[in-house]
Amino acid sequence: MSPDYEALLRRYARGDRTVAVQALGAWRTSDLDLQIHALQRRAKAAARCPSCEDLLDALPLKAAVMLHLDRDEAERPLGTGTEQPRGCPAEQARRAGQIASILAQRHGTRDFARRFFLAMAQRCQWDFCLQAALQWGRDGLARFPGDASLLLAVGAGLEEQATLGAGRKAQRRSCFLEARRFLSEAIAADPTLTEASVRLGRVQWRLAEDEAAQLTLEKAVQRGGAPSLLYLAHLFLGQVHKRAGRAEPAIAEFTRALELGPQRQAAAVALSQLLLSNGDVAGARRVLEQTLVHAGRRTERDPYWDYVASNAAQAEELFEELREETGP
Amino acid sequence: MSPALRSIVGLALLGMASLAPAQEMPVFRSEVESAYVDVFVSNNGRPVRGLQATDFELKDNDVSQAIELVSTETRPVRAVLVFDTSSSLAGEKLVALRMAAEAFLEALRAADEAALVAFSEEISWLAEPTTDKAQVRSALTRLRAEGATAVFDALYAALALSDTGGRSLVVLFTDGEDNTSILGAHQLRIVAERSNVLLHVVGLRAASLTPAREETDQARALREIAEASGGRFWTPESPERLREAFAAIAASMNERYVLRYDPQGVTREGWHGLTVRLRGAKGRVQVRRGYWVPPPR
Repeated sequence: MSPDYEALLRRYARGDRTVAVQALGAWRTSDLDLQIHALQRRAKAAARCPSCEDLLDALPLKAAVMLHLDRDEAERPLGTGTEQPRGCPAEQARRAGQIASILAQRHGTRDFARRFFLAMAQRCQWDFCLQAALQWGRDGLARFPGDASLLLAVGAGLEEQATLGAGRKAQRRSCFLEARRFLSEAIAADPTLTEASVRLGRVQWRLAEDEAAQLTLEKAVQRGGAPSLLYLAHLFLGQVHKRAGRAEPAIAEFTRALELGPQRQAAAVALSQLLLSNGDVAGARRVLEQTLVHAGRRTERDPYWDYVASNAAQAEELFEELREETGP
Repeated sequence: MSPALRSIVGLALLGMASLAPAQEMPVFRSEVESAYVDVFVSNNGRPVRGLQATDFELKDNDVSQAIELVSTETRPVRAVLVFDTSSSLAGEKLVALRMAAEAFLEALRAADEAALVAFSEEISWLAEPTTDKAQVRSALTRLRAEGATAVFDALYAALALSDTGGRSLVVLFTDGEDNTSILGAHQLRIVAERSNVLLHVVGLRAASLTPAREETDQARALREIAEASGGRFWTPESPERLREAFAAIAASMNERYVLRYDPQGVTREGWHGLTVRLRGAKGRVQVRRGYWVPPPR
C-alpha cells in the first residue's frame, strides 16, 4: 500500500477531513483501486493466518470508509430540488463499500460496517437510486443475515419501487410481495420495530390483504412508537376501513390521525374526501379549510409526505455518527 | 414569520372564507331545481357558433328533456387555476406557466372570477376567487418551484372547494407524476363526476403525458377525469406552447352553450347520465357524463 494513501487515511482520522477528501480527488482511479486491492489482500492474509501479525490493525479503516464516502458525496452533482435529487453513488462509494466489507469480517468493527450498509441503503432510497438502495441493503444482509434494520431498509426500498416505479401491475405486485417478505422477516427479527409493522400493514393493504393489514396496523398501534409512526398507522387503518366500506371506523381513524398532528394535510384530505363521499359537504369543506390555513407556516412536515421515500435524516445522522467514530 | 409570508397566509385565509359557503344543494341545480349543462361543440377542432336550443337534444337518464339556452353572459365563470409548483417546475417552465396564466386571465371577461391554488406536496390557496384579476396576477409572482407532487390531493381540494354552483372551472397544470397524494385516481374520478366543476388538465411532460406516445397511468386517469367533467386533457409540447393552451381554455368558456332544463320523468336522487346530441348540425359535443344528486342526509 502506498504511504501517501496511508497518510491520507490518517489525516482523515485526525479530523482533517476536508483536506483529506479534497486530496483524494487528485488520485487516479487505477491507483485507488490498487490501494483497495492491497487492503483486501491484507484482510485475506489475516483471515488465513489468525496467529500472524494483522497488518490492518494499524490502519484507520473506519476513516478509509468515510473518506471514500465523503469523496463520493463531493463528486456527485448536487440535486436542484426534491424531484431532481443528486446523482447516485458511484466509484468512490463502491470503494467505501469494499473497505466496509473488510470491516464486516473483523471483530470490533462489525457494527460499524452494518450501520454503514444501512445508511447507504437509506441514503440511496432518499435519492431515488432504488436499485442501488436495494443492492446496498442486500449487500448488508449478505454480511449480517437476519438484521432487522437492514431487512426493514430493503422492504422499504421495495415498497417505494412498487409504489412509484414504472412498470406493469404484475411487476409492481411482485415488488410488493417481496417487500412483504422482507418486512415480515424484520418484524420476526425485532418485534418492537414499529416502522416495519406500519410498512407491512400498508403493503398488505396495497396487496388487497385487508384483514391482515388491519391486524398488523392495529398491533402497531397497540405496541406504540414514535408519534409520527402512530399517525401513519391511524391514517393507513382509516384507508383499510374506508375501502372495506366501514365509514364510521374510517372516520374515527382519520380523526385520530389528525389529533396526533392537527396541521397534517394527508389525514385532513383523506377525512374530507370520506365525509364528502358520505354526503357531508359542509364537513368535508370544514376539514379542508382547517388544514389549508396552515399552508406555508406548518411547524412540522406531514410524515406521510416522506413516507414512501423513507427517512433521509436517519441516514445522515447515521453517517455523522460513523464519522465521529473514525478518530484514532 | 416574514411580512411576505404573513401576507400569503392572510390571502389564504380570506380565500378559504370566501370559498367556504356550504352548498348542500346538488351541484347542477339551482334553488328552483333546474339543471344547467355546460356544452362545447366543435367541428374539426374549431368551436361551432350560433346554435339554438332546437339544435340540441338532451337526455337525462335516457329521458328526453325540454331545454332552453341560457346566455353565458348571465352566468359568469369562476375559474380556479391549480398549479403544480413542485421542484421540477424550476426555471423556464415556471416562467412560461406564469405567462400562460396571464394569457388566461386576459381572456376572461370582467365579470368572471379567478383564483389561484399552488401545490407541491403542500396545497396553498394563494388567491381567493375574485373579479379583480390584479390580485391573481400578484399571487402569480409568489409562485416558487420546490417540493414534491401531490396532484390528486390538490385536485380534490380544488374540486371540493370550488364546487359552489354556477359555472365552476378548474384548470389543473402538472408536469409530472404524483408522488405524495393520499388520494388516488379512482377517488378523484368519483369526486369529479359528482361535482359541477368543468375540469381541464394541462400536462406538460411530453415524454409521459402525450397521448400520442404511451400514456402513463396518471395521464390516462387525468384525461378520463377531465373528459368525464366535459373538459379535456391538453398536452402542449413545450413550455412555450402553454400560453396557447391556457388562452384557448379561457376563450372556450365564451364559446360554450349553457343548456337549462327542469328534469322530468326521472328520479331526483342518484346518478343522472347525460347525453347531448346535435339535431341536424354537424359537430362534436363535449359535455359532462352526468351529475349526482345525493340522497337527503
